[in-house]
Amino acid sequence: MVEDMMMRYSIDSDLSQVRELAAAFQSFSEEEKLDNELTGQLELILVEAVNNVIEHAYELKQGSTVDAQFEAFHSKVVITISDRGLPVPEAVRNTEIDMPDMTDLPEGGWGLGLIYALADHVKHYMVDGLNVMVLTKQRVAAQIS
Amino acid sequence: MKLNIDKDTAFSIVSINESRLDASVAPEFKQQMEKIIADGNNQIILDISELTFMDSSSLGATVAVLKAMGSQGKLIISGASGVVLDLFKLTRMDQVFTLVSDVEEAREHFVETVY
Repeated sequence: MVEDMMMRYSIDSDLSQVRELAAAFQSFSEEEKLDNELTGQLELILVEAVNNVIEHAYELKQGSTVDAQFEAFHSKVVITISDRGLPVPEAVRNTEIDMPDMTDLPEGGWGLGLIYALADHVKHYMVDGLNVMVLTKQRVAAQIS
Repeated sequence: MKLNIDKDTAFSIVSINESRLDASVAPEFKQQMEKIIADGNNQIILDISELTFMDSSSLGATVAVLKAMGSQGKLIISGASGVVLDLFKLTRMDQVFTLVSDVEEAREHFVETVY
């Protein structure tokens, strides 16, 4: 019987530390024997979510904490990101976001769209000043065409 | 941020000698590329074959590079694979950039037809 596994990791609200968090996720993925394609997609979801926290919740100010929790179950992986920064605006909370129009040659704005495109389920909530984002993905990599 | 530039007659090959391009280095990448363009290189093969990870901030920096090249410039991106290629496809930016498998295929985009 495969046991469910969990890992917790925290970083400072510093973009340069996001790759450290990604490396922690890589270790978790190796322990769980997730395939490379699935790992890559989960890593992208994780990085985009944490970048959003640092850029929007903490407005790029260092010195605050971003917490991440990785859980592996039989059929799914769950990534939970939490912070005590500015709340997620109501307009984007639990609302699927489209990608920017490529013909506009955008230089950003893809983060939430990528998260919704790759995760099977996305949930935002707030409790006692803590913003929580729960990202769930089935243990099967999406085929991108 | 390690970029290597190799100049040919009609174009330059800029190779990213890193495995990750992310938000922490995207501004530096954009700055270095803008300098390369300002130095007179506007026919560029951008070799990203060493990248195993790229995030949307870095994609945004690459779009900025494309804009910096101007209407007479040409940017061919070679070697995108795995989740890096997924990023271009999911954002539909694979319809904006010319993506090829490798540098050899990229060279063909700079071959002039002599009549």
